Amino acid sequence: MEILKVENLTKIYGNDNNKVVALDNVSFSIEEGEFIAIVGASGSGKSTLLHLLGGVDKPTSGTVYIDGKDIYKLNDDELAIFRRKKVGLIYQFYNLIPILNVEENITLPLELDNKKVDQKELDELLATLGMSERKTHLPNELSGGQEQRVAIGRALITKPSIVLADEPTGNLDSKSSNEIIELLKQANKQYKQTIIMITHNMEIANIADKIIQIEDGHIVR
Amino acid sequence: MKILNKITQKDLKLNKKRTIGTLIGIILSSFLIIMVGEMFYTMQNTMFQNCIQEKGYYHMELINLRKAYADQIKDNNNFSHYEIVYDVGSGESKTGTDNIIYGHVLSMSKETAEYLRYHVEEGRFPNNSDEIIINEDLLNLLNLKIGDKIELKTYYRVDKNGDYLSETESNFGKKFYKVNEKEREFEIVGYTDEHIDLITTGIETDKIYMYSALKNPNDSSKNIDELLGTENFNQKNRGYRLNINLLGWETFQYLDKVPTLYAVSAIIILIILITSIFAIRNSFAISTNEKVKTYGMLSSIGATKKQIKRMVLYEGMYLGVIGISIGTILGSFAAWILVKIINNITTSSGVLSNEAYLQYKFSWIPIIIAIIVSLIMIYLSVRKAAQKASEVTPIQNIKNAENFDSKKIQLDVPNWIRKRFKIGGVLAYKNLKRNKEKYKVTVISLTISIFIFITVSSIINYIMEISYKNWSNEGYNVIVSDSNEELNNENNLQKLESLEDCITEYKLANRDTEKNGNFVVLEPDRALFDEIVSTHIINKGEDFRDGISTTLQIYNDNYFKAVAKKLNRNYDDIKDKVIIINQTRDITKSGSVYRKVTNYKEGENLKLTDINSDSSIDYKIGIITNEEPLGFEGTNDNTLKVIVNKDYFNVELKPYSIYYKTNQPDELVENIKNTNIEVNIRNLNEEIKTTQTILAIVSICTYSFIIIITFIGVTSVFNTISSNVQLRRREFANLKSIGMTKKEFNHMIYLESCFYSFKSLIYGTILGLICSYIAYRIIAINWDFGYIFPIMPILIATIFVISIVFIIMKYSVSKINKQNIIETIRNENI
Repeated sequence: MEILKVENLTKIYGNDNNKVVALDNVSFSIEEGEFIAIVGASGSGKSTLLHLLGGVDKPTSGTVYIDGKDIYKLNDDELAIFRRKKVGLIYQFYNLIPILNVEENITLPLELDNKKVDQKELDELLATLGMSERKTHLPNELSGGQEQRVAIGRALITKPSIVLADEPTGNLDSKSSNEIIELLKQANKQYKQTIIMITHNMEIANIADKIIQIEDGHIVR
Repeated sequence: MKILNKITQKDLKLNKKRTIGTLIGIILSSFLIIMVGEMFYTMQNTMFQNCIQEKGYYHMELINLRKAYADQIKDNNNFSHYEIVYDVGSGESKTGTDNIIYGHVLSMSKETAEYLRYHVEEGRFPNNSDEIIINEDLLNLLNLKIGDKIELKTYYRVDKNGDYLSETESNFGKKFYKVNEKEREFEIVGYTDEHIDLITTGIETDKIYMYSALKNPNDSSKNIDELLGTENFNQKNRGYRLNINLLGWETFQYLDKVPTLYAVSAIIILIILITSIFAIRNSFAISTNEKVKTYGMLSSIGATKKQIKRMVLYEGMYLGVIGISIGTILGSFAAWILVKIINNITTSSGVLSNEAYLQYKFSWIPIIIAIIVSLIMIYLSVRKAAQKASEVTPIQNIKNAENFDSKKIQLDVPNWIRKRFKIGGVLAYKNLKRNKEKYKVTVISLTISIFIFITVSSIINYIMEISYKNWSNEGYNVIVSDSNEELNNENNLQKLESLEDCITEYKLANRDTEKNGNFVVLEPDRALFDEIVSTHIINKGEDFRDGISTTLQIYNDNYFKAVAKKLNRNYDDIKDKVIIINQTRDITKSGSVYRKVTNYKEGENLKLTDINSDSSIDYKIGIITNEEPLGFEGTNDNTLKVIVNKDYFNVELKPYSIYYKTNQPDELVENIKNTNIEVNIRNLNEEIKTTQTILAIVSICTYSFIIIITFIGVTSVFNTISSNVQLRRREFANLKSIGMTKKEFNHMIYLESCFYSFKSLIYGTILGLICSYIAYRIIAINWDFGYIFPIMPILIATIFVISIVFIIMKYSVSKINKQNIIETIRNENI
C-alpha cells in the first residue's frame, strides 16, 4: 500500500539573482513498510526533501500525500496535529526537551494528543531501545548515542505512518552509529515501520531496502 | 585588551534591546536617588526658609542683658549679625471687666522689626515712642481700635539682688519687686496677629534682648561662655534661647523631625537600591548567559579568566557611566519639575498658605552620593556575572550544554497540575524549577512593587478616612462660634440664623462653668465602670455625693428635628426628652477601646442635678445611641454625654455655636462676614479641600515613586522573560516539529507566566497586607476607624501583574512564532 506520494515537489530559496533551486520537480512514491535511504552530496537537496515530507517546511510548489492526505492542504494547526500522529522525526542533533526525562521525552507526542500511555508498550519500547535503566534520566545525563535512542523512541511511540530520520548517526561514533542503525532496522522489521533516512554514508545507506539518490535537486536513481 | 573592549562595545550595539533594558535600569535608579536627594534638600531648605519667614534669621536670643554687657559681647567674632530689642517693661492695663492683663512692651527699630518678621496686620509700624502696635486679641479684649489711646504702667520685676527675673527658669515661689515704674500713654497705630504683646520704637532701656546669628550655626552647641568669650554669662539671671527650629533645619540637629526625614529618605533609597540591584544584576546575568558562546570561544583561543572578567566589568562601567550621567541630569530636572507641579497645585487650589510653598534647592551632595552609590551598585551587580563569565569553559561553547539542577527537574509535578493543565502545565511547571534563579529576580521585582503599592495605597486610604471622619458632620459644613458674646445679641442671632438651614448650640450663661456645666447624674449605680463616677460637692459644700460625670450639650429645636429625621423617629416623641451618647473611647497602646457608659434604657427617667443649687430637672430618655447622631463631636472623655433641647431646659443659656448646612459654603461665609458680626467662621469644605490638596500631592509623589520602581522591576522582568524565551528557541521549535499546535504552545507560555506571576502576587499581597495592618495599628492608636481591607489595590496589582507578564511573554514568543521551525532548529544547532 502506498504510504507516501510526492508529486512535482519544488523548493526554491531566495529570488531573482539569489535564487537557489533546492528541489526541482521531484516525484516518487513509497510503499508501506519500506526502509528508504536518501543519499546525495552536501547541498544536493536531501535534507530539504526530508523536511518537506515531514511538513516542517513549506514547498514552493507540488504536493505530498501521506496516508492519502495532501498535507499542504492542511492549515498550521491541522498540520501540527497530523505530524504528531502520523510522522516521527529524528534529527542529527537529537533535539530532546532538556527538562523532560527519557520517559517523558518519549511519551511527549502522546501527551500532546491527550492519549493515555500504554505502560506495557512503553516498557517494551524502552527495553528495545536499551533505555530501561535510564528512563528517569535527563538528556544532559546521557551520552550522544543514548540521546539519539530516546529520539528514536519518541519518533516510534505513536506508531506513525512514516519515520523521517535526518542523518541520525551524523553526530555519533561508529559503535553508537551501528546501534542506532540496528534499532531502525529492528523498528522497520518488527513494527513494519516505514522509514526514510538521509545519510551521506553509503555503507549505512546499503542496509535500506531502496536508495534514492539526489543531485542538484533532482532524483537521479 | 582594546580588542576585548571593542568586542564588548560591538555586542552592546548589536543587542540593542538588552542594552537599552540595562541602561533603563541604571538610568532610573540613579534618577530616583537624585530625585529623592534633591527633594530631601528642597524640603530641608523649605522648612529652613519658613523658619526665617516666621521669625527671622537668628540662632540665639540672649536675654536679660544690661546695656554695658550687651556692648561688650555684640561685636563677638562668632556673630555674623545681631539685632537689639529693648524691653520697656511689663505693662498693665485694665479691661472692661476689671481684670488685669499683663503684657511686655518692647521697643525696636522698624528695621529690627522687619528682620525679626514682626508683621503689621493693619495700620503701620510706630514712628516714635508715643505710638504702639498691639496684638489683635489684646486689642479686641480691651475693646480698642486703631487711633485709640492706651494707658499703661510699665515696670520691671527684679529679685532681691536687683537682677531682672529669669525668663529661662521658673520663678515659682520667688519674691520679686517692681522697679522703674512709669506711667505711659501710647496711640495705637496698628495691630499684629503675632504672639507678642506690644511694640513701640525709640525707647532705649537697660534691659536688652539680643538676637544673634552665628557665622557657624554648629557653634550653637558650644558652651555659651566659650562662644561669647565671657566667663560669667549665666549669672545675674541672664539666659539664652536657641532658635531650635531654624537650627534644626539648618544643621540637622536638635529637631526630632529631622531624623524622621533622614529615616524616610533612607528607607526610600534602600527600596530603590534593592530593586535596582536586582534589575541590574539580572541584566548582566542575562548578558553573560547569552554570550556563553563568545566567552567559551575567547577562552578556547587563549583569553585568560582575568581578561574575560575585565570584559564584563568594562561593560558594566561603560553602561554605568552613560546611565548615571543621563539619570543624574534627568533626576535633577525632574526634582525641579516636581517642585513646580506641587507648588502649582497648592497655589492654584488657593488653600495652602505660603508656608507650604516648596523652595527648590539644588545641592551637589545628592549627585555625588548618587554617583558613588550607583557605581558601587553596578560593581556589586556585575561582579557575579563577571565571575561566571570567566568560568565558561571552551567545551561549554561546543556542547552548548545548559547547566541546571537535575534534582529540581526530577521533582514530581503535582498531580493537580498534570490533570488540569496536561503536558503544557507540566512543561511550564518544570521550566519554573529549571530557571528558579532567573525567575527569582522576576518574582522579587514584582513582589516589591506589589507590596509597596498595597501598603502605600492603604496608608493613603487611612489618611482619607481620618480626614473625612473629622468632618463627618452630616453635611453641616460651616460652623460659626462666638468668643465675644456677639450671639448673645438677639438681633445678631436672628440675622445669622436666617442666612441658611442651621442648628444653634447653647451653653450655660455662667462663664465659670464652661460646657461641662454643673449638672451631674446622681445615680452612680447606673454606671458601668468606675472611672466615670466621681464625688461632687453639692450645694456649695453642704453635701458630697457620688455621681456620673456628664457632658451637657444644649441645642435648639432644629437639632431634634434633624435627629428625628436622621434616625427615623417621631419628632414629637423626642423633642422634650434627652438624647444620651452611651459610649466612651479610651486610647490605649493597642488602639481604641470602646465602653458603654451606663445601663440606661430608652424611656427611663434621667435626673440632671445642678450641683451648685442641688435643684434637678427630670427627663425621660428619648434616644440612647453610641455616637453623636449628627456627628458633631466625638465621645472620648469618660463622661456620659447628654443632649437636651434648649426649649425644655429651664436654665439661663447663651448661644455658642451655629452649624450650617449649605451647598454654597463660600457664599455663606461671605454673607456671614457681610453682617459685620464678629464671630469665628470655619468653612469645613475649605479644610477638606486643604486635606485633599495635601493628599493629592502626597499621592502624586508616592505613586510616581511606585510607578518608577515598578518600571525598573518591569524592565528586569522584560529582560528575564525575553532572554529566556530567546534561549529556548530551539526547544520551542522542537515542540512544534513534534506536533504542538500554536494554541497549545501559547497555552504553555500562558501557564508559565501565570505560575510565577501568581507567586509574586501571593508573596507581594501577603507582605502588603502585613504592612498595611501594621500601618493601621500605628495610625489607629490616635484615630478611631476600622481596618480597611485593601481590596482595590490588590485587585489592581493582580490585573497589572498578570497583564504585564502575559504581554511580555506574548511579545517575546510572537517573534518565535513568526520563525520557520526548521530554520530555528538548524540555526540553533550551528
